[in-house]
Amino acid sequence: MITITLLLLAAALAWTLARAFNLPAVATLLLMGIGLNAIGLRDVAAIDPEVANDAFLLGLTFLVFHSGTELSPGRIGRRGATAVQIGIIQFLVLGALGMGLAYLLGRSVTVALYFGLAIAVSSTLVVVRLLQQRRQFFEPFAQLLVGVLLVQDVILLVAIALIEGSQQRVQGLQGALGGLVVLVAMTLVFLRWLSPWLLLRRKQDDETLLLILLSVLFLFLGLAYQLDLPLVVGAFTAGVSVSAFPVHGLVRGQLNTLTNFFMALFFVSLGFFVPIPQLSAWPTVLGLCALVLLVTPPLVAWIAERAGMSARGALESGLLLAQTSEFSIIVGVVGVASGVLSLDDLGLLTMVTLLTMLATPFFTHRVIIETLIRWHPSTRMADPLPKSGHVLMAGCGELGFTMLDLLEQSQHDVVVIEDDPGIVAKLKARGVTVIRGDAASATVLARASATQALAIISVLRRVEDSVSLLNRVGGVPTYVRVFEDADAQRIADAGGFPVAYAAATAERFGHWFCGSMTGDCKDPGLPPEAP
Amino acid sequence: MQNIDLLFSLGIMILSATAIVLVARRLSVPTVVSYLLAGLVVGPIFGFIHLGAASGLDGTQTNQVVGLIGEVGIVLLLFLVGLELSLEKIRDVGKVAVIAGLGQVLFTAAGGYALCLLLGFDSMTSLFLATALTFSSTVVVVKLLDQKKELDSLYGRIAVGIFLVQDLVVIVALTLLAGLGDATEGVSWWALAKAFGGMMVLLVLVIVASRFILPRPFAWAARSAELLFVWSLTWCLVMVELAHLLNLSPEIGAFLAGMALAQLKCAHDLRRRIHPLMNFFTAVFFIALGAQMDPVSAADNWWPAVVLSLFVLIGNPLIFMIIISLGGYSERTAFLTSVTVAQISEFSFVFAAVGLSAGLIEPAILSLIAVIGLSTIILSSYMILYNHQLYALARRVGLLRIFAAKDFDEDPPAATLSDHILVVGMNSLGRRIVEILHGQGQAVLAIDTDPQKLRDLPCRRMQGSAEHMSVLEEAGLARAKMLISALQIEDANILLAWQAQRHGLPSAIHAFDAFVVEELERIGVDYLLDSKACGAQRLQQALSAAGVLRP
Repeated sequence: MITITLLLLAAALAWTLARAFNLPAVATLLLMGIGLNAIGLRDVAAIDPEVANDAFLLGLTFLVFHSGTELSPGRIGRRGATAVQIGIIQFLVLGALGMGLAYLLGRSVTVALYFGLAIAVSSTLVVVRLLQQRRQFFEPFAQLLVGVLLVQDVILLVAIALIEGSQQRVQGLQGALGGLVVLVAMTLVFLRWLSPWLLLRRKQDDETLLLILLSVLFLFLGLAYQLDLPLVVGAFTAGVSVSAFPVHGLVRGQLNTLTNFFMALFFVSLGFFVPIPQLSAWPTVLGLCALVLLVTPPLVAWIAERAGMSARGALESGLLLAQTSEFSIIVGVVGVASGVLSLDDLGLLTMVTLLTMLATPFFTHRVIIETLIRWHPSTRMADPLPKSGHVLMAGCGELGFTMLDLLEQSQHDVVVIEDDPGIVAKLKARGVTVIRGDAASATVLARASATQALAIISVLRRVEDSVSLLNRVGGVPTYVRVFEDADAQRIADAGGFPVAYAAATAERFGHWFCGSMTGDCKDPGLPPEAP
Repeated sequence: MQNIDLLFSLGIMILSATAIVLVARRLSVPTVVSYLLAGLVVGPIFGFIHLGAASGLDGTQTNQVVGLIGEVGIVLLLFLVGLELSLEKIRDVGKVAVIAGLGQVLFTAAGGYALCLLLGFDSMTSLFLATALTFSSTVVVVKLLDQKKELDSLYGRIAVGIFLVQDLVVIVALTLLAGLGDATEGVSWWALAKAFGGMMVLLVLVIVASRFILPRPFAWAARSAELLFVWSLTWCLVMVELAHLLNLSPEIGAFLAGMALAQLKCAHDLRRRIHPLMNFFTAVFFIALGAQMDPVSAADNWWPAVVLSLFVLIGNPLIFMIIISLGGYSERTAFLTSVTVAQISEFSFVFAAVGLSAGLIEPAILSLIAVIGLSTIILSSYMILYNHQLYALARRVGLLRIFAAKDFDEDPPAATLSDHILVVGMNSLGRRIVEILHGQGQAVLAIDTDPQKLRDLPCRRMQGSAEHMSVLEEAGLARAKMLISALQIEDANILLAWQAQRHGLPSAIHAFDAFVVEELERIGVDYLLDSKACGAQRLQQALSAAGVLRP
């Protein structure tokens, strides 16, 4: 048990590091594993390689199973077309470039193919966690990103299955394809009928629920094995088969800690076993990193903007996707298992993943984004509008149109700053003066003659943006819509007038509750209801 | 893939266990029994027939890993028990636990030895059999009590105390046994001293740690679910290693580790999170245990098997009833506690295996012990599961009057919430709603994953993720009046709306953006907290008041 203890201790330290310095946990777990190796624990044999090996295997299985459970078909559906577009194009471009680079640097075609595959996808774990931490997870661009990541996971697994299958002498490509079809069919059967039947029809207790989930996993693993497909494909499809709502909600509760436990063991033991690339391999490492870090952002940003995303959202998406994935490591593991790749190759791929993952939080920092956005054509310095005494709306959104009506009724000249191309088009159609851009940026505000405005109304999503705006317009009465009370304080401190709508919502609810739930509310203790 | 064997073994074990559990549920069979049966079914496939070293499994590396998983399962189980019970709770029942535990060991050992001699076994065999019969199964009982959520009751605590005492006795027995085979007397006394001294050291460490060392780091870690989880597990395993160094059992180490954390506010949430992991690993343990048993070859010894099983099933509880009633506890507590000791321990197999490999007993005896183990574990599982009903029956039949125990109620009635309102998500909206409802005199329960957000609230609070069914159950969803979610998390809100529907509860869910509204309306909520619309309204009011908007 000392092996597990040491691995867990390393994982605990890794997670602490990650939390303290805002780094991706996957990266710190890998680092810790490498650290364990570096301090010579391997020689001391404190860590039993057999046990670590099995921990690694179970970890891999649960990691991929977990990824499958996140693949809710609904998530891709909403912005499906764009997500698929971005996912596929990034995959193909990076894959091709990666393969080319590897080939140029002396690898065989097959090995180069695996390398290309490995750098073609971005990390679901890192990106989702980053978005959640920054409370951006439910912004539209974030939802799109999640869709892209899930599409990539699927494409990658299909690619792995086919490539591995085509190497099998027994059945080759057709066999693999056929096997995939069977597996997918089984997944659909589960999704539609079996999972809900098993998990929902009677209120199963926790233990039975867990047993059923694990059985589904092992069933699919067995099926994949029989079909001569890589086990990771089985684990993934098993996850997908329990990913639909509302089954997924029940699943998550049971699997969360299991996944965390095994994931920790997986990455730490990987870092422990995998050799650090030798000097001769570093050009490849750095070359692949450069490819990922320099090609992904402009590529993704370009496609996203063409598909109708705001400039800032597109840029942020591109930067967020600039890393390789835990699945890249899985490609390496599969390659090693089938003998195509060497352990050194796996070490190389792991290092690329580690480095690019570590770079992500810095790459996507506000400062970098704001600096880069200034280079965007739409924010080029243009002449300020010849206006003063107008009312400036920073952000419009769906509800802004009502505000627009009221302002126009009060005989105001209105200028709107908005980033969403769809809403910009609607505003232009109404004949409203609209500037497309990021309302927190100095150039855009200058163009809108913000300092000459009569009043500014901000419904920007992020409170940091409103604070930036306030700092740039000083003196103009600015009304900012905020949700949290703490944010209201920040706005007030920056000189604006906060309109806290959480309290408003709660009070309206209070009135409804009095009216319908408890009958007569003698003294609800609420401000009188607004008309 | 590297080592398919492990996945294959685990797969077969889990699949068979699930199949049996799904069927057996209908017959109200305890899961422990289902696991044992599953093990019996798949045992022959793996050749888990010969018992080996301490982990109980021999041979292939896969079997060793399976054994390791089982060990970790037991560690987690005892860790959970420790988390549930604090030092104070154990101190209360300390005296009776020690007396009852020791008393039962003496009685069963002596009585068992005599009985075996009567049945015709030689003295060495009788000694082994008697020792094997003496110890009750911590793992089985604790698992059942945990399932019934009765670990915290008085009888539950006494039972746990007794098992821990027995654990110490086991250590003594093992050390002495090692000394028997070793013939260097000096070594075994030192080992014993190490064990007892070690126990003291660990206890002191636990008290110091729980009061001074652990609270602050763990409070910091509690803000992140994974951090808390992984550090707790690490702490547990480190304590287990420490216990190992001090010649104590891993169970004691894990239990003490849990006790050290029991004081912390996050203990409750932690227990909930560890549960699935524990369930998985202990399932493997029990299945592997069942797989090791070879009941068929005990056919020749069926008569001793019956007699000795009855001795354990009836004799052990009997002696307990006497001791505990004498200790002044109520008749009910005495009965319920007694029922928990009516089986032999999985450790008995280990003990017997050691004896077999040392050439002190025959293989047939091993099978005999296996049969006794199986039957007593299965029957006592039922007894524990239905202990309250059994008690009622025994009372009615007048069986218990002999013990002349007092008749009163010791466990305070649990304060359960009902007719309350659940509010999930303590952001500004959630907090304001809590204030409003509380101001109107409603019973409110606030739920959030972040302990910081639960500070300074006038109502009852619960830390946990409302997406998990166990959290909702504990929050009393079934008895609540309404479910409100102020969260800004789409998935969680949709799930909560669905859960409310499923339980027939009215719900008010935060529709924080247009795209959430559609889903929520499809599922059906009673009130949509449309924060953006309210925000727009307030904005208009503010602008009108400032004169920007003119009527």
